[in-house]
Amino acid sequence: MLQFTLRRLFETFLLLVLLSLGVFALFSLIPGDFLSEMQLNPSMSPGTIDQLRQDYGIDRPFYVQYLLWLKQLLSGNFGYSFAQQRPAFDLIAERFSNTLLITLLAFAIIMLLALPVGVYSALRAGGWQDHLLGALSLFLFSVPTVVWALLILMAAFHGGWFTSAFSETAEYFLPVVTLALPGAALVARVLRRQLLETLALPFMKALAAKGLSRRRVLTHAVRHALNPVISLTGSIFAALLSGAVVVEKIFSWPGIGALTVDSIFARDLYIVLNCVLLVGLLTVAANFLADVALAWNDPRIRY
Amino acid sequence: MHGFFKKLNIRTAFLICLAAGFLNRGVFLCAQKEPPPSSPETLKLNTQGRFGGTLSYALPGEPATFNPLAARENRSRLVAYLTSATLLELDTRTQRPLPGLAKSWTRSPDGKSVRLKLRQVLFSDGSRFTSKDVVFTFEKIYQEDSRNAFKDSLLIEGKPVQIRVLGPWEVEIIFPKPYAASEYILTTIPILPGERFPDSKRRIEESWNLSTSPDEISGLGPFAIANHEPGKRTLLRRNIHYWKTDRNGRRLPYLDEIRLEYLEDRNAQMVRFQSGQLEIIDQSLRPEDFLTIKSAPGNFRVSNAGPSSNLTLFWFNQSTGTNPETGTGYVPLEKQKWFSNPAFRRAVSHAISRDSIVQNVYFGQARPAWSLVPSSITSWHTNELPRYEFDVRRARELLRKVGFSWRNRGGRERLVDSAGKEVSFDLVTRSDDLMAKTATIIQEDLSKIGMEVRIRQEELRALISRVMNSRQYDAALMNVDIPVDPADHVNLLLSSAPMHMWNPGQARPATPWEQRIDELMNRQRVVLNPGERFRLYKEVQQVLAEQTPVIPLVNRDVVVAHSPRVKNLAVSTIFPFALWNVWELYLECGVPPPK
Repeated sequence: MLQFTLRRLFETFLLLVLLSLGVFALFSLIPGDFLSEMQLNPSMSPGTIDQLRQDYGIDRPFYVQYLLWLKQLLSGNFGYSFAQQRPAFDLIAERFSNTLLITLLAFAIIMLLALPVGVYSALRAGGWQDHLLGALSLFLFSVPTVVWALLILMAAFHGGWFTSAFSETAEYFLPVVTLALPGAALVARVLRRQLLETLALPFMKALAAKGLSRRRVLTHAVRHALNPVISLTGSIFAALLSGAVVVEKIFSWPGIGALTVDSIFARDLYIVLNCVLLVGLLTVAANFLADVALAWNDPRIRY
Repeated sequence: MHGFFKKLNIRTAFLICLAAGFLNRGVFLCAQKEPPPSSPETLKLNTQGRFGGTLSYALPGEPATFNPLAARENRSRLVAYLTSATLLELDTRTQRPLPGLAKSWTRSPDGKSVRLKLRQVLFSDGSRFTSKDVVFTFEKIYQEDSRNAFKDSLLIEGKPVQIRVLGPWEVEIIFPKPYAASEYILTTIPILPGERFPDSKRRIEESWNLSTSPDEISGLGPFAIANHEPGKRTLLRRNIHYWKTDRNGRRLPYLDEIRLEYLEDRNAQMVRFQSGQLEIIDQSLRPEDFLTIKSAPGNFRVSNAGPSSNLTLFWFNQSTGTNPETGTGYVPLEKQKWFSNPAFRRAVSHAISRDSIVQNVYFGQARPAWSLVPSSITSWHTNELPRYEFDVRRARELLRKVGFSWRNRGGRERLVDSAGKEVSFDLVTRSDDLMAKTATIIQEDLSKIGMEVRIRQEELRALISRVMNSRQYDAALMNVDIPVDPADHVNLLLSSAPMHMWNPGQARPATPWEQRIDELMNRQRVVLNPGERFRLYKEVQQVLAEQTPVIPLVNRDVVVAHSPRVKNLAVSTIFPFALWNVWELYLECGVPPPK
């Protein structure tokens, strides 16, 4: 396990270096920079704009900017937001807690919905309940997140949620539900299929033949069927983080997804850079935790 | 009476108490409480209203800063407008200066200085406003490492203005040479409290960012920052020391609070507005929203205040120099010949239907534009300009006269120049729905005179970089905000200026008419007589209209959606539109101001 952890740490380090280098390189390829918009302001002289370019260091080649950033990083300085004139770390810290809140809540809802629905569908396989849940899952999973977000927004409007006592909760609830629905549908379908396969395995029949109760047999089956679901959690967490970009924009939720998009358009280099690195880091961490959970659930798995 | 109480059962008693509570609350909600007393130095306005209440206002995103001197975009400029004040104020209708923090002022006969008598008023934190704060603000603007937009406006031919303190509440502002826009400039500089900035060496732009505690921020505006929830909203509370009063001598503003709601998604804004969570949307209202709100059931109002200072402009790349990166001209030679021909440009202007853009893109919430000065800038706009009305026949005539002809290719009529080259060009514009629709109309209209237009859309910063820096384009379509005073048009119209969009940064004027514009623009900067200054600037507009280096297409209207609860609303066509008289706005049934 130690060797596995060390290998993962090294891979993460490489990933972060490549990601950061990629962001700097891409920014140097895109025409225009943060200060380009100021060129449309008749009150700003070109001299002032050039001075600002020098101050921000964006007049230098990208590799020089990159090396300077690495140097700053060693002293704990993550860079500076050009747009908000303050350290990038402060801004991202403010927004990160919001993204983490809706992502974790959505993750919890996915698990709480998908596990019982998946087991129930498998137990009613071929029945009308299974068909109904299957169709519903397919529908939830097929509709793009952006469409879900707009539909839920309209439903909230027509349902009068914004004017009710529920309006404060709606601020959290709507983005979380939008994020959770497609993920819950996917996990429920994976669990159903896996559980049906497991229930058909010879060792299940052996357990039943030995006289174990149906509940005990099912417990063994679910534990066995959970392996692919646990493997999937890392990817689901990554999908939630990327889905948060759309959801945060539509619901005006101040998280790092919306911040990243705005910063890309504003060419706020260090904000984009740190957001990308943070999301990369979280995705790696989620996958690592999924691997650990897999090993805990199935003692046969060793790294 | 005793019998009556005996007959009361618990349920009835409860209902009576409840009704009394509601009645009391109703009275409380609509009650007017006397605000803090005014002082002799306050400015009395002919207005009346009701105190109390919170107004919710939508912004399409968070401001970048709370620092009025660092405000560069409209969201930060709005916060600056609400929380700070200027020495003089601009009358949004006439664009003439009005008293602000200065209760009176006199300009010297030679136009080199302005003497101002200041009001003895207080900042929102209760500290006293004096001449020292004016000196501090100007010092900070000019600080060596400072990079604020005010610095450029306040450098007159590269030299700073001087401030002479004549007394605790009297200052003289001395310009290095006669300056026609001296009063206008004073309507733009927000005054900061010097005492709030103990670290005098720190760059002013780095202070008062969004992480700063509201307790550390104070100003002379009608509101003060009370609370900021990052990315969500900012709550502004009334400045109890504000220096304007209503006709009864009661201290303004009427509103207790303004809640700035940051809603990036326009659909989310509309949903919240229609749910009654927002009282006003102006800056982010789309043309189609106007129709939606107008036809939607509910108690809303939409009003069109008239043309804004925003123009949609079309121009050809007329750059004459050599591109240092390629060693060739910025545009191929044959195109340079077409684009530099005024008759060609006039023909294009005739061939584009502005009415079609107004109706199909803006659903009637815009109007055709004929001048580089929008009609909202009443003191400088002139109607005495040639108009290139939509007339395809006239466009063809103009082209024929300068050697163009038509030939048939693949069943389509194509315009060819005297050398037999077919006229076709790329049109670059912003990747934005309104611009895409406008570009498509231009493409269709110009195809009627045989021109082939290829549309290329780019993200705003990439587009600006292409048009202003690399200049690798044929024609451009962009929205530009035109400043109120010609003093700020210098960067746009001087041939050497970087924003001289059709051919920026010329070493010497490329054409005689550009030389004439340079002369007129330099002259209008120093002429003190307003009538003479108008005459000079009118000539600039006439030259531009005759030569059409830039083709003004449409002038978008300022459209505001608001709740009927908001009273005293008199939307301005100049920023900040619905909130320009924020101190006068009141809600029909508000709550009393805090004690």
